[in-house]
Amino acid sequence: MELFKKEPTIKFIKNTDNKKNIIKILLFLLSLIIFISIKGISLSMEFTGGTQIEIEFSSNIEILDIKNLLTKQEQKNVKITHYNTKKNILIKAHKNLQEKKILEKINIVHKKIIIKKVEYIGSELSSTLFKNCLSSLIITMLITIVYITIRFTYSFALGALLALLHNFIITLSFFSILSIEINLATISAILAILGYSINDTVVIFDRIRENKKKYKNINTIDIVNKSLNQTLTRTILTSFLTLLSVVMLLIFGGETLVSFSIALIVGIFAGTYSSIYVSCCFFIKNNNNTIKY
Amino acid sequence: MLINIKTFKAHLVLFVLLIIISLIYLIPNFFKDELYISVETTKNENIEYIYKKLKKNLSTYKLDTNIHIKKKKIKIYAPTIKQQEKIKKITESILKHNKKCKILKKKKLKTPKFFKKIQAKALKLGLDLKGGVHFLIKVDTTQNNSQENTIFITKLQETFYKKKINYIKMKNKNDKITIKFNTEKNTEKIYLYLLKKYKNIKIVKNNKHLYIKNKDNISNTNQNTVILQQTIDILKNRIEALGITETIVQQQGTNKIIIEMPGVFDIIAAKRILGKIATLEFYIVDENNNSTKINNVKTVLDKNNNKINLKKEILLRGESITNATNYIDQQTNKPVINIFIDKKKTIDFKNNTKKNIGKLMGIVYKEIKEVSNNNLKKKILHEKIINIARIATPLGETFQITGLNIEETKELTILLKTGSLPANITIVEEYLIGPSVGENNIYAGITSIILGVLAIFSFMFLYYNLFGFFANIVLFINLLMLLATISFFNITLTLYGIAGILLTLGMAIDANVLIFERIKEELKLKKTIQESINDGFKMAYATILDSNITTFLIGFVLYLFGHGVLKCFATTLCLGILTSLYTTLFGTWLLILLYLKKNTKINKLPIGISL
Repeated sequence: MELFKKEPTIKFIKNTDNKKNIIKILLFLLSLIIFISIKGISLSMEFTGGTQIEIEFSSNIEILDIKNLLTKQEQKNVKITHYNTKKNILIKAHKNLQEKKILEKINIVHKKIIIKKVEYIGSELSSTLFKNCLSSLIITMLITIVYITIRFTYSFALGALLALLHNFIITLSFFSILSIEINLATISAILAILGYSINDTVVIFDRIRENKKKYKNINTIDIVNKSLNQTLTRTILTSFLTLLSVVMLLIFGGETLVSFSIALIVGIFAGTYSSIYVSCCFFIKNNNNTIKY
Repeated sequence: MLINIKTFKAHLVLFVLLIIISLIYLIPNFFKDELYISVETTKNENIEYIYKKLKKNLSTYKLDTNIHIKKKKIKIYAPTIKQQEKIKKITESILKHNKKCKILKKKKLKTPKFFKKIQAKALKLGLDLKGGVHFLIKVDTTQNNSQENTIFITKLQETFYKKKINYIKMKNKNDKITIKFNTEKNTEKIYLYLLKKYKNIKIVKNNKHLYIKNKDNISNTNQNTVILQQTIDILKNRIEALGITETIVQQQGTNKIIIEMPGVFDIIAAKRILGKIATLEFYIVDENNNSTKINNVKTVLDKNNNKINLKKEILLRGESITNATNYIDQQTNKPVINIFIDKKKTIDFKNNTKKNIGKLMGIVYKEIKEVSNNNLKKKILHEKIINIARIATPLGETFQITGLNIEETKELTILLKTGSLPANITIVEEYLIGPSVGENNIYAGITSIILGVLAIFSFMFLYYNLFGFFANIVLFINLLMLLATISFFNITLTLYGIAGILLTLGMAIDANVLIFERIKEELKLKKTIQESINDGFKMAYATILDSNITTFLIGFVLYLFGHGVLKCFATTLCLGILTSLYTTLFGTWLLILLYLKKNTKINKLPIGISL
């Protein structure tokens, strides 16, 4: 079976002013950043600190029933919601909660409860976590830039950096638009996607480097297009196969991994797109119309 | 190509050997551990009676076939961790009135001895797959500062004495030392002296006052490490004394400790025993009520809330207690703690009690409790006199005390036995994962891997025909080797680790796709079969290395900077990249070569081209 019988000749990069292209991409990313700052991101408790209790009751329960059991002070601080089914209750608070007292109160009225999860994270820890994640992201981007500059040239590295930022911002916007909660696992998924998309990008860069040596008198844009077409099958296949395994994780992996799987899926799409359209733009801009003899 | 015909056989042998070793290290996973509840009693309790009582009551739960008695020990078997928890609760409720029974959860490993010898263990499952409690504890090392200040103050006092300088008062509060002198001249003298001698303090002079602060707010790191290690040892002992096995007590960072107790589901009880700082102190009761010497007297409430005056000099401190055991006194039916004192302190204690024969001795139970008051957690000192006894003879190395109820006695024994914590601890992170959640997660993880692998398999076979099948075999071997490596290094596998495995599988197949696409391209350029394969591998080689190394670097960064969830994910990612590099570059190559050897005369490679 084959995707393309002959080598495809899709004109990915058109012969236009590439400075314009770069500016277009940057403006798009900037507008997304502004959007995210306005809409905000929903961060999980691991980053904000607080307490969370998951209780399963033996039958359907109303939120008001639980609320009425608490004192006014406690009611002010907590947020009670249903979780999955009407039998499950999630109690969230952003400050120190007297979980023992609350559980005792609930237990007096409802004898048969199963405490599924109790989580407490101090705010000192959560801010350290946040800083750690941020530094991991920055260091990751730095490492990739250095590595690509060593293996290829710095214009490739700039393109790779732009592609990484592109992936990161698009994934973040997706979570922001749909108000999906970002937790620690999401961050690790984003970091994994950064690595994965670099994978893609390097394969394309490799081909461009090879073709540049082979076809010395074809202009840069045509070389880039040819390389993109040659690697197209591989790019589509790999993304598809990885997507398959991640979709399995999303469907069967359980609630804990939902945020993680979504980040991976969005990242794979964004990564494939960025490897094709974004990563080569600096290279083209710097090397356009150089014909070597 | 790096493998030529001569080394082909060697590489084949190595590959097969590695597969066999991986399989051996994976076998322990197939031996299911035996989970059971053990019921033990003290010598005088009739174990047969307990057994009959349990058997009768368990029949209502249809568990009477699970109970066995052997050599005065009762075992109740449980099929899963969830069941084990249930059965424990049922047993505890049946034996509510038999307080002398010890009911514990136990696990017996059933792997044959051979595997233990080669260090082959079953995969270690993380908390989110087994269920249990997790705490992150911060050890308060700032107390260290006030200790240093005490030493500093003593030095200062010596200096003042030597220089014959009088000071009116000296206070040490919140890391700041305040000294008031009688003349400004003296203040100036000391100020200059201190500035010269001590480089790492900050001094402010104000008329007759000097305010001194230790500039190094960072405590001596060596002492911190010692305190942290002591805390870890004590916490470990406390948990073991409770009969909880398989706990993880580890240092994290410079001042934090992670505690994970799989299979423990009562988070509130666990917190109580961990955070408790309690000890005993022995005082002489001030029977004459000398109100003139108020400074020498301490007032503590006894059990009936009467105020008792105690003379401030401590007869015996909790730190001098080296061991404690508890039992029920046969005659009085009251719980008793048997206390053993450090040999060095015995002489002093003996002398002191000899001096005070005939006087009343008060035993004070001292506990630092955490109280939550409108969202503020405060620590308060709680003291209670648990017993007053007249000293009849000088007390020696061991003696008994009474006065607490049975729960308090048990807890205090553990606390005395394991020692008091050297520093205050606060819980900064805690979570409990219920047993059903754990089981669901395992199920979810396994299903995702199996389905993911199946999906990849079907697609590869469809697209690349026979060579796709080779890639599938290599992928499967990759999975085996990865799991074996994780088992061997005893890395804890969590749900995120499983996600890392899935991601590596996706990337591993990518390497194969690269190779196959390259081979197809070379074939289209009308090269011979052998040439196409060699060139295909050669050209794909550099790309595969490049891309995998970058991902590996990122995984490495995650491993260094992350902890907990991130670290596990990063570990499986990095290990997975290593195994997939090996299996793809060597495994696929070996399989293709084997195929070529058996089919020397072919025109068309079964690689999915319909030429």
